[in-house]
Amino acid sequence: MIDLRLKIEPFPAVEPFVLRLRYDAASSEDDAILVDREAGRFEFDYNGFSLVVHAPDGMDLDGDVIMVLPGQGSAHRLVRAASPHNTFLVTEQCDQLCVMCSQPPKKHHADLFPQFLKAVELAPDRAYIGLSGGEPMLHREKMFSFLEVAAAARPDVRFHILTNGQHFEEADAGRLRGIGVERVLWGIPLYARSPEIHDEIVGKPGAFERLQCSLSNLMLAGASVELRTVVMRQNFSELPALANYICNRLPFISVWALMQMERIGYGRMNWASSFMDTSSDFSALKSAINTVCARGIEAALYNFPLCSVPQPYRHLAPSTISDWKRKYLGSCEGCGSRDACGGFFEWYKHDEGFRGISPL
Amino acid sequence: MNVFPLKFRQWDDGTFLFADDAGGFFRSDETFLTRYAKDMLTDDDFSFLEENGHVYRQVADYSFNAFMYRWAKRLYAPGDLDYVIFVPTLRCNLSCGYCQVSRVNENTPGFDWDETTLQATLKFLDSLKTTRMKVEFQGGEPLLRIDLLERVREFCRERFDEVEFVVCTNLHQLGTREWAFLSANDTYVSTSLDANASVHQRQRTITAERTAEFFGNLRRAIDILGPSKVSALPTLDVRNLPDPRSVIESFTSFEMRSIYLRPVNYQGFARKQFQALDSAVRWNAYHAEFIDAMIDYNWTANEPVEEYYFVHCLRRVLRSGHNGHTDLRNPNVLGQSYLVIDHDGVFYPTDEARMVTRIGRIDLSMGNVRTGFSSVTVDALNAEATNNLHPDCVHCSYQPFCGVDLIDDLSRYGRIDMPKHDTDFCRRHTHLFDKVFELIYSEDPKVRKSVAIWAGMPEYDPAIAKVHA
Amino acid sequence: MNTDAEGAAAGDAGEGAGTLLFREVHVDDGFLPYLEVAIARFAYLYPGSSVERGPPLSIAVSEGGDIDAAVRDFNFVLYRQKIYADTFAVREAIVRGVMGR
Repeated sequence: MIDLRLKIEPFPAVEPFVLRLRYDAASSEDDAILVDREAGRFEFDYNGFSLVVHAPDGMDLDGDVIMVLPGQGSAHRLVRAASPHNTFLVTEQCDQLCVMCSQPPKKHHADLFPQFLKAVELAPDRAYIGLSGGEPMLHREKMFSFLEVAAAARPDVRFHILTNGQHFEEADAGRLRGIGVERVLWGIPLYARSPEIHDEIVGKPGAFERLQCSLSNLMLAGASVELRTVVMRQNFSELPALANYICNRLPFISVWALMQMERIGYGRMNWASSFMDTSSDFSALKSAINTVCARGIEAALYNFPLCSVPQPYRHLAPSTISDWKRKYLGSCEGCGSRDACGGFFEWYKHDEGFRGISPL
Repeated sequence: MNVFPLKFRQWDDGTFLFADDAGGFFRSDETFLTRYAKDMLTDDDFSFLEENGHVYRQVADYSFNAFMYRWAKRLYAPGDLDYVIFVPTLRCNLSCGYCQVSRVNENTPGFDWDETTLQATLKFLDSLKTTRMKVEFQGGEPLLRIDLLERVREFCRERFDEVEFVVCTNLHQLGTREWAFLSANDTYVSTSLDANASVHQRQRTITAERTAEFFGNLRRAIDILGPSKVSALPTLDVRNLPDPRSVIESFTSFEMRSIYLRPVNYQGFARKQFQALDSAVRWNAYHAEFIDAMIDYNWTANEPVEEYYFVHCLRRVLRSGHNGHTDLRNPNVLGQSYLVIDHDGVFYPTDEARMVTRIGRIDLSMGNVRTGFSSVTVDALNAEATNNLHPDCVHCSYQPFCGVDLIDDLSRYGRIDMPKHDTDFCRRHTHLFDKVFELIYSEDPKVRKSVAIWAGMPEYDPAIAKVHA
Repeated sequence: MNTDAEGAAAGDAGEGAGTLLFREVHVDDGFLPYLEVAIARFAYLYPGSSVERGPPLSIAVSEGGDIDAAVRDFNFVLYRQKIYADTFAVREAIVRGVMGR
């Protein structure tokens, strides 16, 4: 597992601030230049101040955007320049309680939008930044403002935003188009075609209905949506009906991502009752995938190890687990597809997991 | 609950296909038709219809909006001009029996681009908005003017960010210079391979020597350029149709697996030589037989084959926004996203339009690259180029998947207002879509295997073949 | 649909007018508003046919023609014209919704 924090020596900060680490030259006043480097110790000059970072020797920090918080011994690596997986945690508040949630909600919210804006400004060329939570759109005004300013400041940067889709209005169309509909991919979950089953899974009555409203508004606005469905015992047999529903009601989506569970947070708590061993039974997934493929809607399998997917469907399973929380099993040693495979979540436990897998 | 208008068609087995204007379809029976026509639908009917996107409760509710989206996505909206077809010479070094209006003899003067036309063409390309371009060279035999091809290619590589070239050549008399030209990464070869060696010789090359030259060059092209850079189209004489298996074998021996079957298209005087209707019936029967032969082949072959246009029709049934083929679009707006420039610098909206004009039926030209672009006639034609509310097409269950080809109608009948069922275009496509649906609803595992491959599904699923019992 | 009577009759006008096959066709009241336009459309789909309005309505084809198919297709034409007329407002609403006018 990769640490998203950097150990730093005490630094005089009164509020959270963002800066970029550079090995050679500064191109802005937000850059800290490397002045000295020894085993595990990087010293940077930040506008005359010394910023010392302790990190493994081989770690590439050049271009990284970090956030220093007052009184803390570590900084957050907001943007790792050499990695495609960079996500800002917008809030830990949420208005749903999904049975498989990997980031259980908290009451407190810290507003870091100014810092995130700075981080986008400093991000590498053509960065693809994730925004997540909790539920980011609980702060929709600030989210829209942030996106408007960030999109204008950095026309090359795109965003992938995870949201439960409970907060879009018809009148948002103008703002969405102003930001640029191809600049933002909204990652929105829908678990079943049946309102009862969906509401049960997300722990909120009326969620399905409200979600339909949001999806319809997004469709009319021309927004880009990645529809996400975590595959679990609760909704597995419903997948073909959901596929049909998507073809008829949600034909505008960019991709339908069928996802395996992550064994953390509520996902770990509810693993035994929720985890669907798709390596032993892929049937409903086959039907769902074949239906949407025929109708020209892109399907993808996220977080499925390749050996758990029948051969005709493997090309739909890219490597999706973020590098910092990915691992491979001992038995993966001899596997011929290891390079292409996204592996397992760091917190996956094989004795409670896939029964039908073996090296390819 | 309101049902979006349903079109219906009865098949030979007595069952009915029902389809809405957005292309949603299902199979049912005459009792359902009667209930629907008499406003006597049952709860069970409504339940099925609602589950499958055929129903809305109020205008602008979610179901209505989704239908609007699917309906809109079926329509073709032309983009900026990014595909040009150039005819730098009408001269040709072959004289194929069926090529009537597209060629002159190799030594005939006055049928090539002159320097003024070339310069005007380059200036025209320079004036365009697009940063991407596809340039297709046709003729005659374009390689007879390889100098012009080289100059156009050099200009385009400089001018456009992304550009691709296709040379439609008969693959005869290729020297070092021609092979060098064709070897570039951005340049593709399109040629004719009429079924197999014996048909090809009969229809095109005439002598054994020239036939050998062609097949030798085709083999060399595949070897040097790679199979992905070479494609071939068969033109078949409906009076003398070859065994489908021999065509499949011939093409696969050159690693070509996408076969686009085209009947000889007689223009003008040649059409009167035999009954057009009879030939359409014969062609349709042959085409169906060919598809069946491919299904058989694909059941055991390592690498599957497809009939290009059939797969296009299959995908147009199952998907929206599938508008890649210029002949099958609705609305079929011409003269905008692609253009032809003839040997004399005249603009045409399509190659067929060029031929129709040449035989004197109607002038479909759009100005001249030297004097300027003008689209008055084509604009008038474009105003009629939709099938949505056509008095025949509006009732047809294949309408959302089909298109219009007014130039084909003009070419055959001299008018664009024929009852559709009397047109070759409609008959041909009705047959094609009948076959598409026959396969979609087939329970034969051999058929299902090919349908899955052709439809782009990892495996077949009956969910695509809805039935309302 | 009901077929009340059928038969063959000698053609009455013109040279070479052969035997006609005709059949009566029952038209439900609900379809009467669409009858005229259906007859007009049927005429060009079946050029060799004729329609006597009656009542009762009667379809005729010349001998050698398929009277079963003609009657079936006439009913289909009638259904289609009704469906078209009854749902025209929906089609208008869709076009308006998509085109913005």
